[in-house]
Amino acid sequence: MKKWYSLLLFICLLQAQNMKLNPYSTTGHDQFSEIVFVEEGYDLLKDFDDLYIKMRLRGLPVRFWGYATEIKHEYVDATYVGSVVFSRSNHTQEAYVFDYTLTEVAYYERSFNIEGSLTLRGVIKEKKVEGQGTIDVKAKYGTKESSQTTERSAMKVTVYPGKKITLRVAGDAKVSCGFSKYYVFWICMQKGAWEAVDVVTSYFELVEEDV
Amino acid sequence: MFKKIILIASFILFLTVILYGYLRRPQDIIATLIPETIQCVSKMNEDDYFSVDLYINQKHSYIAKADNIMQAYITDKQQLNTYPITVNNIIALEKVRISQQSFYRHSFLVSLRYQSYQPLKLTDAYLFIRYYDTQELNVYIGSFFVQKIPEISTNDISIHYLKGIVNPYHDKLTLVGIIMGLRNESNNDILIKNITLLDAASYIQNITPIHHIDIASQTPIIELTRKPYTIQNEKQTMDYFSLDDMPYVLLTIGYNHHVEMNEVGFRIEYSVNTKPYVYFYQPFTFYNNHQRQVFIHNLVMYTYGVR
Repeated sequence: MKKWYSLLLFICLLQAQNMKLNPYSTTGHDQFSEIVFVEEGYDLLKDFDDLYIKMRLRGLPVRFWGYATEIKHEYVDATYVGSVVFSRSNHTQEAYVFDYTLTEVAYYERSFNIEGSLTLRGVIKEKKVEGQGTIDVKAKYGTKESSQTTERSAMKVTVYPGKKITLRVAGDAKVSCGFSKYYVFWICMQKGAWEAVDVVTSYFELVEEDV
Repeated sequence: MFKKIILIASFILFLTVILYGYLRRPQDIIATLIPETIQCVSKMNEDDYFSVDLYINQKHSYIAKADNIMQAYITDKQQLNTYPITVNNIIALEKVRISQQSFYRHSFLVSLRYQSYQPLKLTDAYLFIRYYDTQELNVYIGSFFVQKIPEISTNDISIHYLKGIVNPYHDKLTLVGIIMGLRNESNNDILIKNITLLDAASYIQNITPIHHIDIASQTPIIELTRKPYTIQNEKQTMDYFSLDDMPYVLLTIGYNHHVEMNEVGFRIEYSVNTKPYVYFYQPFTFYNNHQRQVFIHNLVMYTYGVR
Protein backbone atom coordinates (compact mmCIF):
# COMPACT_ATOMS: atom_id res chain seq x y z
CA MET A 1 0.00 0.00 0.00
CA LYS A 2 2.88 2.28 0.91
CA LYS A 3 4.24 1.81 -2.62
CA TRP A 4 0.97 3.09 -4.12
CA TYR A 5 1.02 6.14 -1.85
CA SER A 6 4.64 6.85 -2.85
CA LEU A 7 3.74 6.55 -6.53
CA LEU A 8 0.75 8.88 -6.07
CA LEU A 9 2.93 11.41 -4.25
CA PHE A 10 5.52 11.22 -7.05
CA ILE A 11 2.84 11.87 -9.70
CA CYS A 12 1.47 14.79 -7.65
CA LEU A 13 4.96 16.27 -7.40
CA LEU A 14 5.43 15.96 -11.16
CA GLN A 15 2.10 17.71 -11.74
CA ALA A 16 2.99 20.45 -9.28
CA GLN A 17 6.15 21.14 -11.26
CA ASN A 18 4.06 21.73 -14.37
CA MET A 19 1.74 24.17 -12.68
CA LYS A 20 2.62 27.74 -13.41
CA LEU A 21 0.77 30.97 -12.84
CA ASN A 22 2.05 33.94 -14.80
CA PRO A 23 2.03 37.28 -12.98
CA TYR A 24 -0.75 39.64 -14.03
CA SER A 25 0.23 42.05 -16.75
CA THR A 26 -1.95 44.62 -18.48
CA THR A 27 -0.24 43.99 -21.82
CA GLY A 28 0.83 40.38 -21.54
CA HIS A 29 4.43 41.58 -21.29
CA ASP A 30 5.96 42.18 -17.88
CA GLN A 31 8.11 45.08 -18.94
CA PHE A 32 5.35 47.13 -20.58
CA SER A 33 2.49 48.64 -18.65
CA GLU A 34 0.90 50.01 -21.82
CA ILE A 35 1.19 49.22 -25.54
CA VAL A 36 -0.81 51.29 -28.04
CA PHE A 37 -0.80 50.63 -31.77
CA VAL A 38 -0.18 53.72 -33.91
CA GLU A 39 -2.82 52.64 -36.44
CA GLU A 40 -6.18 51.16 -35.61
CA GLY A 41 -7.18 47.61 -36.46
CA TYR A 42 -4.63 45.71 -34.40
CA ASP A 43 -5.04 43.91 -31.09
CA LEU A 44 -2.66 42.55 -28.52
CA LEU A 45 -2.45 38.81 -28.09
CA LYS A 46 -3.95 39.00 -24.61
CA ASP A 47 -7.16 40.38 -26.14
CA PHE A 48 -7.56 37.50 -28.61
CA ASP A 49 -10.46 35.14 -28.06
CA ASP A 50 -9.44 31.53 -27.29
CA LEU A 51 -11.78 30.25 -29.99
CA TYR A 52 -10.22 32.62 -32.53
CA ILE A 53 -6.72 31.31 -31.68
CA LYS A 54 -7.97 27.71 -32.00
CA MET A 55 -9.51 28.45 -35.41
CA ARG A 56 -6.37 30.10 -36.72
CA LEU A 57 -4.22 27.21 -35.45
CA ARG A 58 -6.56 24.72 -37.09
CA GLY A 59 -6.03 26.46 -40.42
CA LEU A 60 -2.26 25.87 -40.40
CA PRO A 61 -0.91 23.28 -42.86
CA VAL A 62 0.46 19.94 -41.64
CA ARG A 63 4.21 19.52 -41.99
CA PHE A 64 6.48 16.50 -41.97
CA TRP A 65 8.93 18.24 -39.68
CA GLY A 66 9.37 21.72 -38.26
CA TYR A 67 7.24 24.81 -37.83
CA ALA A 68 4.11 25.78 -39.71
CA THR A 69 3.63 29.48 -39.11
CA GLU A 70 1.12 32.08 -40.10
CA ILE A 71 2.12 35.66 -39.35
CA LYS A 72 -0.89 37.82 -38.51
CA HIS A 73 1.05 41.06 -38.49
CA GLU A 74 4.74 41.84 -38.61
CA TYR A 75 6.66 44.87 -37.28
CA VAL A 76 3.58 47.02 -36.74
CA ASP A 77 4.34 50.42 -35.19
CA ALA A 78 3.28 50.94 -31.59
CA THR A 79 4.17 53.08 -28.60
CA TYR A 80 4.77 51.70 -25.13
CA VAL A 81 5.07 52.78 -21.55
CA GLY A 82 7.61 50.62 -19.81
CA SER A 83 8.02 49.68 -16.22
CA VAL A 84 10.35 51.60 -13.92
CA VAL A 85 13.98 51.00 -14.95
CA PHE A 86 15.27 51.76 -11.49
CA SER A 87 14.21 53.48 -8.34
CA ARG A 88 16.57 54.35 -5.50
CA SER A 89 15.80 56.11 -2.25
CA ASN A 90 18.26 57.51 0.23
CA HIS A 91 17.29 57.32 3.89
CA THR A 92 20.78 58.14 5.11
CA GLN A 93 22.31 61.49 5.97
CA GLU A 94 24.78 61.46 3.07
CA ALA A 95 24.36 61.65 -0.67
CA TYR A 96 25.47 58.64 -2.65
CA VAL A 97 26.26 58.12 -6.31
CA PHE A 98 25.59 55.01 -8.32
CA ASP A 99 26.47 54.16 -11.86
CA TYR A 100 23.53 52.44 -13.42
CA THR A 101 25.39 50.79 -16.28
CA LEU A 102 27.48 48.80 -13.85
CA THR A 103 24.60 47.79 -11.61
CA GLU A 104 21.90 45.29 -12.33
CA VAL A 105 19.89 47.61 -14.55
CA ALA A 106 19.03 45.92 -17.82
CA TYR A 107 16.01 45.91 -20.02
CA TYR A 108 14.85 43.57 -22.72
CA GLU A 109 14.90 44.84 -26.25
CA ARG A 110 12.53 42.06 -27.33
CA SER A 111 9.69 40.74 -25.29
CA PHE A 112 7.58 37.66 -26.06
CA ASN A 113 4.11 36.67 -25.05
CA ILE A 114 3.13 33.12 -25.89
CA GLU A 115 -0.27 31.47 -25.59
CA GLY A 116 -0.16 27.70 -25.81
CA SER A 117 2.53 25.05 -25.66
CA LEU A 118 4.90 26.72 -28.07
CA THR A 119 8.55 27.23 -27.30
CA LEU A 120 9.77 30.04 -29.43
CA ARG A 121 12.64 28.90 -31.59
CA GLY A 122 13.04 29.58 -35.25
CA VAL A 123 9.53 30.98 -35.50
CA ILE A 124 10.42 34.53 -36.35
CA LYS A 125 12.60 35.26 -39.30
CA GLU A 126 15.54 37.50 -38.78
CA LYS A 127 14.90 40.96 -40.15
CA LYS A 128 16.92 41.97 -43.16
CA VAL A 129 19.09 44.82 -42.04
CA GLU A 130 19.96 46.18 -45.44
CA GLY A 131 17.41 48.40 -47.11
CA GLN A 132 17.47 50.69 -50.09
CA GLY A 133 20.43 52.96 -49.56
CA THR A 134 20.28 52.81 -45.79
CA ILE A 135 21.49 50.42 -43.17
CA ASP A 136 20.12 49.70 -39.76
CA VAL A 137 23.50 49.60 -38.16
CA LYS A 138 22.38 48.81 -34.66
CA ALA A 139 19.21 46.93 -35.50
CA LYS A 140 18.73 44.26 -32.92
CA TYR A 141 16.02 42.16 -34.52
CA GLY A 142 17.09 38.63 -33.87
CA THR A 143 15.53 35.36 -32.99
CA LYS A 144 16.83 35.35 -29.46
CA GLU A 145 15.57 37.15 -26.44
CA SER A 146 18.48 39.03 -25.00
CA SER A 147 19.12 41.52 -22.31
CA GLN A 148 21.57 44.30 -22.59
CA THR A 149 22.71 47.14 -20.48
CA THR A 150 22.12 50.46 -22.12
CA GLU A 151 24.99 51.10 -24.49
CA ARG A 152 27.44 53.82 -23.67
CA SER A 153 25.24 55.08 -20.91
CA ALA A 154 27.58 55.12 -17.96
CA MET A 155 25.25 57.44 -16.15
CA LYS A 156 26.08 58.46 -12.63
CA VAL A 157 23.08 59.42 -10.54
CA THR A 158 23.39 61.20 -7.21
CA VAL A 159 20.70 60.36 -4.70
CA TYR A 160 20.51 63.05 -2.03
CA PRO A 161 19.41 62.36 1.56
CA GLY A 162 15.65 62.09 1.91
CA LYS A 163 15.16 61.75 -1.86
CA LYS A 164 14.05 59.02 -4.19
CA ILE A 165 15.25 58.86 -7.79
CA THR A 166 13.12 57.04 -10.33
CA LEU A 167 13.98 56.36 -13.95
CA ARG A 168 11.04 55.53 -16.18
CA VAL A 169 11.11 54.43 -19.78
CA ALA A 170 8.64 54.81 -22.66
CA GLY A 171 9.10 54.71 -26.41
CA ASP A 172 8.41 53.22 -29.79
CA ALA A 173 8.20 49.53 -30.61
CA LYS A 174 7.31 47.16 -33.40
CA VAL A 175 4.84 44.39 -32.66
CA SER A 176 4.66 41.09 -34.52
CA CYS A 177 2.09 38.37 -33.96
CA GLY A 178 1.39 34.94 -35.38
CA PHE A 179 0.31 31.36 -34.92
CA SER A 180 2.60 28.34 -35.07
CA LYS A 181 2.55 24.58 -34.84
CA TYR A 182 5.60 22.37 -34.47
CA TYR A 183 5.51 18.98 -36.18
CA VAL A 184 7.61 15.85 -35.82
CA PHE A 185 6.74 13.09 -38.35
CA TRP A 186 3.42 14.84 -39.14
CA ILE A 187 2.54 14.80 -35.44
CA CYS A 188 1.84 18.18 -33.88
CA MET A 189 4.08 18.40 -30.83
CA GLN A 190 3.49 22.03 -29.88
CA LYS A 191 1.11 24.76 -30.94
CA GLY A 192 0.27 28.27 -29.90
CA ALA A 193 -0.02 31.95 -30.66
CA TRP A 194 2.87 34.30 -30.06
CA GLU A 195 3.55 37.99 -29.93
CA ALA A 196 6.92 39.72 -30.08
CA VAL A 197 7.55 43.33 -29.16
CA ASP A 198 10.79 44.84 -30.45
CA VAL A 199 11.84 48.00 -28.70
CA VAL A 200 12.96 50.51 -31.33
CA THR A 201 13.45 53.60 -29.19
CA SER A 202 13.56 54.09 -25.43
CA TYR A 203 12.99 57.52 -23.96
CA PHE A 204 14.04 57.97 -20.35
CA GLU A 205 12.47 60.21 -17.74
CA LEU A 206 14.23 60.99 -14.48
CA VAL A 207 12.13 62.03 -11.51
CA GLU A 208 13.41 62.96 -8.06
CA GLU A 209 10.87 62.94 -5.26
CA ASP A 210 10.89 63.33 -1.49
CA VAL A 211 10.94 60.01 0.36
CA MET B 1 41.46 4.51 -68.38
CA PHE B 2 43.38 4.67 -65.11
CA LYS B 3 45.61 7.41 -66.53
CA LYS B 4 42.53 9.40 -67.49
CA ILE B 5 41.14 9.21 -63.95
CA ILE B 6 44.48 10.33 -62.50
CA LEU B 7 44.59 13.22 -64.98
CA ILE B 8 41.05 14.40 -64.18
CA ALA B 9 41.65 14.04 -60.41
CA SER B 10 44.90 16.05 -60.69
CA PHE B 11 43.09 18.73 -62.70
CA ILE B 12 40.30 19.00 -60.10
CA LEU B 13 42.89 19.17 -57.29
CA PHE B 14 44.77 21.89 -59.17
CA LEU B 15 41.56 23.91 -59.63
CA THR B 16 40.65 23.48 -55.95
CA VAL B 17 44.09 24.73 -54.85
CA ILE B 18 43.83 27.75 -57.16
CA LEU B 19 40.29 28.52 -55.97
CA TYR B 20 41.27 28.10 -52.31
CA GLY B 21 44.25 30.39 -52.80
CA TYR B 22 42.07 32.96 -54.53
CA LEU B 23 39.44 32.92 -51.79
CA ARG B 24 42.04 33.05 -49.00
CA ARG B 25 44.04 35.85 -50.58
CA PRO B 26 44.83 38.72 -48.22
CA GLN B 27 42.10 41.35 -48.40
CA ASP B 28 42.34 45.04 -47.78
CA ILE B 29 41.19 45.99 -44.33
CA ILE B 30 38.29 48.41 -44.69
CA ALA B 31 36.94 50.24 -41.69
CA THR B 32 34.16 52.74 -41.20
CA LEU B 33 32.31 54.33 -38.32
CA ILE B 34 29.35 56.50 -37.52
CA PRO B 35 30.47 59.88 -36.16
CA GLU B 36 29.04 60.53 -32.71
CA THR B 37 29.40 62.86 -29.78
CA ILE B 38 31.75 61.64 -27.08
CA GLN B 39 31.53 63.25 -23.67
CA CYS B 40 33.58 62.47 -20.58
CA VAL B 41 32.83 64.05 -17.24
CA SER B 42 34.94 62.98 -14.28
CA LYS B 43 36.80 64.16 -11.22
CA MET B 44 40.32 65.52 -11.51
CA ASN B 45 42.16 62.42 -10.26
CA GLU B 46 40.11 60.01 -12.38
CA ASP B 47 40.86 58.68 -15.86
CA ASP B 48 38.20 59.08 -18.54
CA TYR B 49 36.90 55.98 -20.28
CA PHE B 50 35.01 55.88 -23.54
CA SER B 51 34.56 53.59 -26.52
CA VAL B 52 34.78 54.10 -30.27
CA ASP B 53 32.88 51.65 -32.46
CA LEU B 54 34.62 50.81 -35.72
CA TYR B 55 33.02 48.60 -38.36
CA ILE B 56 35.78 46.46 -39.91
CA ASN B 57 35.33 44.07 -42.86
CA GLN B 58 37.33 41.29 -41.15
CA LYS B 59 36.61 39.72 -37.80
CA HIS B 60 40.26 39.09 -36.87
CA SER B 61 42.25 41.84 -38.50
CA TYR B 62 45.62 43.35 -37.67
CA ILE B 63 44.11 46.71 -36.75
CA ALA B 64 41.71 45.11 -34.28
CA LYS B 65 44.41 43.85 -31.93
CA ALA B 66 45.30 46.23 -29.14
CA ASP B 67 48.82 44.72 -28.88
CA ASN B 68 49.62 45.93 -32.40
CA ILE B 69 49.07 49.57 -31.47
CA MET B 70 52.18 51.65 -30.92
CA GLN B 71 50.58 55.05 -30.27
CA ALA B 72 47.08 56.42 -30.22
CA TYR B 73 45.73 59.97 -30.02
CA ILE B 74 42.57 61.99 -30.17
CA THR B 75 43.35 64.95 -32.42
CA ASP B 76 41.74 67.81 -34.28
CA LYS B 77 41.70 67.92 -38.09
CA GLN B 78 45.04 69.70 -38.48
CA GLN B 79 46.65 67.63 -35.70
CA LEU B 80 47.57 70.85 -33.90
CA ASN B 81 46.18 69.50 -30.64
CA THR B 82 46.84 65.85 -29.86
CA TYR B 83 45.79 64.08 -26.70
CA PRO B 84 47.42 60.70 -26.01
CA ILE B 85 45.04 57.86 -25.25
CA THR B 86 45.43 54.19 -24.33
CA VAL B 87 43.49 51.55 -26.24
CA ASN B 88 42.95 49.06 -23.43
CA ASN B 89 41.02 46.46 -25.35
CA ILE B 90 39.22 45.85 -28.65
CA ILE B 91 36.11 43.68 -28.59
CA ALA B 92 34.59 42.16 -31.73
CA LEU B 93 30.80 42.39 -31.64
CA GLU B 94 27.98 41.65 -34.07
CA LYS B 95 28.13 41.37 -37.85
CA VAL B 96 26.28 43.89 -40.06
CA ARG B 97 25.88 44.21 -43.83
CA ILE B 98 26.97 47.46 -45.44
CA SER B 99 26.86 47.78 -49.25
CA GLN B 100 26.61 44.01 -49.78
CA GLN B 101 29.67 43.46 -47.61
CA SER B 102 29.99 41.99 -44.12
CA PHE B 103 31.40 44.21 -41.41
CA TYR B 104 32.05 43.42 -37.76
CA ARG B 105 31.44 46.02 -35.09
CA HIS B 106 34.58 46.42 -32.99
CA SER B 107 34.44 48.39 -29.79
CA PHE B 108 37.75 50.14 -29.08
CA LEU B 109 37.81 50.66 -25.31
CA VAL B 110 39.88 53.74 -24.66
CA SER B 111 41.12 55.62 -21.60
CA LEU B 112 42.41 59.18 -21.41
CA ARG B 113 44.17 61.10 -18.67
CA TYR B 114 43.32 64.78 -18.82
CA GLN B 115 44.13 67.08 -15.95
CA SER B 116 42.71 70.54 -16.36
CA TYR B 117 39.51 72.23 -15.28
CA GLN B 118 39.52 73.93 -18.67
CA PRO B 119 37.20 71.78 -20.82
CA LEU B 120 38.75 69.85 -23.72
CA LYS B 121 36.55 70.63 -26.66
CA LEU B 122 37.04 69.30 -30.19
CA THR B 123 34.16 69.96 -32.59
CA ASP B 124 35.85 67.77 -35.23
CA ALA B 125 37.75 64.99 -33.53
CA TYR B 126 39.86 62.25 -35.09
CA LEU B 127 41.09 58.94 -33.74
CA PHE B 128 44.69 58.58 -34.85
CA ILE B 129 46.37 55.20 -34.36
CA ARG B 130 49.93 54.28 -35.34
CA TYR B 131 50.58 50.55 -35.53
CA TYR B 132 53.88 48.70 -35.08
CA ASP B 133 53.98 47.97 -38.83
CA THR B 134 54.31 51.80 -39.23
CA GLN B 135 50.91 52.11 -40.93
CA GLU B 136 48.45 54.63 -39.57
CA LEU B 137 44.70 54.94 -39.18
CA ASN B 138 43.14 58.39 -38.96
CA VAL B 139 39.40 58.23 -38.52
CA TYR B 140 36.88 61.05 -38.06
CA ILE B 141 34.91 60.15 -34.94
CA GLY B 142 32.63 63.19 -34.48
CA SER B 143 32.95 65.59 -31.58
CA PHE B 144 34.87 65.11 -28.35
CA PHE B 145 34.43 66.76 -24.98
CA VAL B 146 36.09 66.30 -21.60
CA GLN B 147 35.17 68.18 -18.46
CA LYS B 148 36.85 67.76 -15.10
CA ILE B 149 34.65 68.55 -12.13
CA PRO B 150 35.59 69.43 -8.54
CA GLU B 151 35.85 66.69 -5.92
CA ILE B 152 33.10 68.27 -3.86
CA SER B 153 30.00 69.41 -5.68
CA THR B 154 27.93 72.39 -4.63
CA ASN B 155 24.56 71.39 -3.20
CA ASP B 156 22.55 74.61 -3.36
CA ILE B 157 20.58 73.37 -6.34
CA SER B 158 19.53 70.00 -7.69
CA ILE B 159 18.00 68.72 -10.88
CA HIS B 160 14.89 66.79 -9.91
CA TYR B 161 13.38 66.22 -13.34
CA LEU B 162 14.80 65.43 -16.78
CA LYS B 163 13.15 64.37 -20.00
CA GLY B 164 14.27 64.68 -23.61
CA ILE B 165 12.17 65.90 -26.53
CA VAL B 166 13.33 63.76 -29.43
CA ASN B 167 12.16 64.51 -32.97
CA PRO B 168 13.18 63.12 -36.34
CA TYR B 169 15.23 65.77 -38.14
CA HIS B 170 16.40 65.02 -41.67
CA ASP B 171 15.56 61.34 -41.08
CA LYS B 172 17.71 61.22 -37.96
CA LEU B 173 16.34 61.04 -34.42
CA THR B 174 17.58 64.20 -32.74
CA LEU B 175 17.47 65.44 -29.17
CA VAL B 176 15.90 68.84 -29.88
CA GLY B 177 14.76 69.79 -26.39
CA ILE B 178 15.20 69.00 -22.73
CA ILE B 179 12.67 69.54 -19.97
CA MET B 180 14.59 70.23 -16.77
CA GLY B 181 13.25 70.59 -13.26
CA LEU B 182 15.47 72.63 -10.95
CA ARG B 183 15.10 72.86 -7.20
CA ASN B 184 16.51 75.33 -4.70
CA GLU B 185 18.08 73.23 -1.94
CA SER B 186 19.25 76.23 0.06
CA ASN B 187 17.40 78.83 2.13
CA ASN B 188 18.66 81.68 -0.04
CA ASP B 189 17.46 83.15 -3.30
CA ILE B 190 19.25 81.57 -6.22
CA LEU B 191 19.70 83.26 -9.55
CA ILE B 192 20.47 81.03 -12.56
CA LYS B 193 22.89 82.90 -14.80
CA ASN B 194 23.65 80.38 -17.51
CA ILE B 195 23.17 76.73 -18.48
CA THR B 196 25.54 75.09 -20.96
CA LEU B 197 25.81 71.57 -22.30
CA LEU B 198 28.87 69.42 -21.58
CA ASP B 199 29.31 68.62 -25.25
CA ALA B 200 31.27 69.95 -28.22
CA ALA B 201 28.72 69.48 -31.02
CA SER B 202 25.61 70.96 -29.41
CA TYR B 203 24.49 74.10 -27.62
CA ILE B 204 21.43 75.56 -25.93
CA GLN B 205 19.51 77.83 -28.29
CA ASN B 206 17.01 79.09 -25.80
CA ILE B 207 15.66 78.59 -22.27
CA THR B 208 11.94 79.09 -21.71
CA PRO B 209 9.68 78.34 -18.74
CA ILE B 210 7.37 75.36 -19.07
CA HIS B 211 4.32 74.69 -16.92
CA HIS B 212 3.20 71.22 -17.99
CA ILE B 213 5.72 68.42 -17.91
CA ASP B 214 3.35 65.59 -18.77
CA ILE B 215 4.53 65.63 -22.39
CA ALA B 216 5.56 62.66 -24.52
CA SER B 217 9.19 62.67 -25.67
CA GLN B 218 8.04 62.40 -29.29
CA THR B 219 6.11 65.73 -29.12
CA PRO B 220 7.22 68.08 -31.94
CA ILE B 221 9.37 70.87 -30.47
CA ILE B 222 7.45 73.56 -32.38
CA GLU B 223 4.33 72.63 -30.41
CA LEU B 224 6.20 73.57 -27.24
CA THR B 225 8.13 76.63 -28.40
CA ARG B 226 5.57 77.95 -30.95
CA LYS B 227 8.54 78.96 -33.09
CA PRO B 228 10.10 77.46 -36.22
CA TYR B 229 12.95 75.11 -35.37
CA THR B 230 16.16 74.28 -37.18
CA ILE B 231 19.15 72.69 -35.52
CA GLN B 232 21.27 75.71 -36.40
CA ASN B 233 19.02 78.39 -34.94
CA GLU B 234 21.07 81.11 -33.32
CA LYS B 235 21.76 81.10 -29.61
CA GLN B 236 19.43 83.55 -27.85
CA THR B 237 20.72 85.79 -25.09
CA MET B 238 19.45 84.47 -21.81
CA ASP B 239 18.19 86.59 -18.96
CA TYR B 240 19.06 85.58 -15.43
CA PHE B 241 16.14 83.85 -13.77
CA SER B 242 15.21 83.01 -10.23
CA LEU B 243 14.79 79.34 -9.42
CA ASP B 244 11.62 79.99 -7.48
CA ASP B 245 10.01 81.63 -10.54
CA MET B 246 10.90 78.91 -13.03
CA PRO B 247 10.99 75.45 -11.46
CA TYR B 248 10.70 73.77 -14.89
CA VAL B 249 12.44 74.99 -18.02
CA LEU B 250 12.58 73.87 -21.63
CA LEU B 251 16.06 73.94 -23.14
CA THR B 252 15.97 74.06 -26.95
CA ILE B 253 19.02 72.28 -28.35
CA GLY B 254 21.00 73.34 -31.41
CA TYR B 255 23.89 71.61 -33.18
CA ASN B 256 27.07 72.73 -34.89
CA HIS B 257 27.14 69.30 -36.58
CA HIS B 258 24.08 67.15 -36.92
CA VAL B 259 25.21 64.07 -35.02
CA GLU B 260 23.08 61.77 -32.94
CA MET B 261 23.51 62.75 -29.29
CA ASN B 262 21.50 60.68 -26.88
CA GLU B 263 23.19 61.77 -23.65
CA VAL B 264 24.51 65.04 -22.30
CA GLY B 265 25.49 66.65 -19.01
CA PHE B 266 25.10 70.24 -17.80
CA ARG B 267 27.09 73.12 -16.38
CA ILE B 268 24.89 75.53 -14.46
CA GLU B 269 26.21 78.91 -13.37
CA TYR B 270 24.25 80.45 -10.51
CA SER B 271 24.67 82.99 -7.78
CA VAL B 272 23.68 83.07 -4.13
CA ASN B 273 23.66 86.59 -2.65
CA THR B 274 25.66 87.76 -5.69
CA LYS B 275 28.39 85.17 -5.04
CA PRO B 276 28.95 83.01 -8.19
CA TYR B 277 28.97 79.19 -8.15
CA VAL B 278 29.05 76.43 -10.74
CA TYR B 279 27.06 73.19 -10.55
CA PHE B 280 27.90 70.21 -12.77
CA TYR B 281 25.50 67.43 -13.65
CA GLN B 282 26.83 64.15 -15.05
CA PRO B 283 25.66 63.10 -18.54
CA PHE B 284 22.14 61.72 -18.55
CA THR B 285 20.92 59.27 -21.21
CA PHE B 286 17.78 60.79 -22.71
CA TYR B 287 17.05 58.04 -25.20
CA ASN B 288 18.35 54.90 -26.83
CA ASN B 289 17.71 54.18 -30.46
CA HIS B 290 17.89 50.50 -31.38
CA GLN B 291 17.03 51.02 -35.03
CA ARG B 292 19.33 53.76 -36.09
CA GLN B 293 19.37 54.44 -39.81
CA VAL B 294 22.53 55.69 -41.40
CA PHE B 295 22.83 56.55 -45.06
CA ILE B 296 25.54 54.50 -46.71
CA HIS B 297 26.73 57.44 -48.78
CA ASN B 298 27.43 59.30 -45.52
CA LEU B 299 29.85 56.63 -44.35
CA VAL B 300 33.54 57.16 -45.03
CA MET B 301 35.41 53.94 -45.83
CA TYR B 302 39.00 53.89 -44.56
CA THR B 303 41.30 51.39 -46.28
CA TYR B 304 44.22 50.14 -44.25
CA GLY B 305 45.99 48.02 -46.88
CA VAL B 306 46.78 44.33 -47.18
CA ARG B 307 47.96 42.56 -44.04
